[in-house]
Amino acid sequence: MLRTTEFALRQALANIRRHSLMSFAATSTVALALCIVGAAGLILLNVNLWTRRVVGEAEIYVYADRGLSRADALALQHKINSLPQVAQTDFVPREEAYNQLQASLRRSLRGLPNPLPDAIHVRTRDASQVAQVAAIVRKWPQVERVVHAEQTIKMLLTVRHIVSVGSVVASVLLLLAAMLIVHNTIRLTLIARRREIGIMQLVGATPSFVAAPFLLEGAFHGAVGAVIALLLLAPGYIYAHRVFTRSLSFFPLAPPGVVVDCGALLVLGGLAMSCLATVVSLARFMRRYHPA
Amino acid sequence: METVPCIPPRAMGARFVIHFEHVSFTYDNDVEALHDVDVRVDKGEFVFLVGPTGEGKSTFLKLIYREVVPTAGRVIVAGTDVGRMPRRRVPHLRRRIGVVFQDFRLLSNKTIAENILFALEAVGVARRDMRRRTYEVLRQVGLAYRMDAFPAELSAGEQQRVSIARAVANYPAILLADEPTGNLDPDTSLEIVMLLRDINIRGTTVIMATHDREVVDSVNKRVICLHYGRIVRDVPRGLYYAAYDQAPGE
Repeated sequence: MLRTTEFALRQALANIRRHSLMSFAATSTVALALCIVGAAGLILLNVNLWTRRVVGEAEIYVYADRGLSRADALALQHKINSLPQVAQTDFVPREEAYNQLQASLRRSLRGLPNPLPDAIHVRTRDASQVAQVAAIVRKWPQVERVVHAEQTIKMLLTVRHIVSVGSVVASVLLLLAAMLIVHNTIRLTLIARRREIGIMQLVGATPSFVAAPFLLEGAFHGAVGAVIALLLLAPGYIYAHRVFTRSLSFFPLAPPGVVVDCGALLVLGGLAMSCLATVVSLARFMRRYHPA
Repeated sequence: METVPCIPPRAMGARFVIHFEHVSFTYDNDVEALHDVDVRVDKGEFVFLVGPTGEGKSTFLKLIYREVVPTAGRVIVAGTDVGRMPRRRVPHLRRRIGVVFQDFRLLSNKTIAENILFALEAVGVARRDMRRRTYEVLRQVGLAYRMDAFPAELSAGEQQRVSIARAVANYPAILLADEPTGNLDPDTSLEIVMLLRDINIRGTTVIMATHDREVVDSVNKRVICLHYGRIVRDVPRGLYYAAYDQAPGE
């Protein structure tokens, strides 16, 4: 086992040296693809984070009719609460709202009558249900006015959808391109070593013994490409995090530690992708040149 | 020349035979290379497979080492139907068969010792045995003194000797030689066939495909003549023409 591994390592390194230009092309393509995939993943992660936050904070403000008594207003809250789409409601008495208004205006409104109605802050189970709940509540006679950020939520959800679809499509295309390059590199190595492979098979080398150097070569492209991608991504993300924290604090990014998780995924993904490309290359080569 | 045992004890005990049971083989392009071939080769035999180019000699050998599988019939090697053998067992079959080709198939970027070491390493021979075996087989073929030379530095005959050394380095029970003298002059061809005969005398079954009359006539061994993929003559101790001239249509 140890000798097989040693042989495979020696052969893999010799292959990489022999086709250094193709190896460079394969590794850099994998690195570039994984870098873009990683960046897309980080963007998606943060867009999701923002969307969740904004949507999580999205509330419907239901203002009760001014003619309603406190008991009727509380009954209205209870009625809203009983809607299946509603997760939580908070009752804001008109006096409290008046005090909040005074505090926000930083001036006393003493002597002026309180113009505000009792209000109910409503949170739905899902952001997409905000408009639906608002439409239901708006029809009720006890309700004077309904306010919610429907357009903002709609826009955010659309952005999230576009980013998700765009990231997935771009990632798949880039990974396919990287796989194709790795596949081609391994294929060239296989063709260059056709004679050696033929001799190995002729004298009775097992398929795993024959395949091991090529799998290691493929794994090398995947792992090194992933590490390069990570080395490019990590400083970039740390810099972006610093800029956002300093200048765009209302759009906080996920902490830099997320790059470590992302890096682990990149290395695993790079390895899996390269090994898959190598296996396909090997299988096609063996089928064509050594079918029996 | 000092001789060394060519077959280890494990292979000596078994009665190693090759049995073609009504074997036919047709290539993908519908060319029938062999038709209803029924023949048996016993352990320790030396067999010439003769006939002009394209008569199925190479296919006959390929069927033995499972490079191809028969389209009809069975090829039995040491009691195993190699055509129906699972693919994972093929390497084990091939470790018991040495193969020599007309074009030597040596790796030009390796010395002749490295060529043999490479083959031994590929089948997992222990490191301590690899050098000893390499030296032994090179001494057997008379090239121990040139073990650090590259193939390009050797004559065609010497390259074929290296190819034979590589084929017997794993102590095979069967040695298949596909036109091994095709690229050699008559004198060198005779040297090669004598080397194969020496290997055969030490117990290895040898099957040699050739259309070289002088080579066949020089050792007076069994001759099987293939004609249009059929066995037309099987002479226990014969000459080339004795087998070939009487083929139908000749």
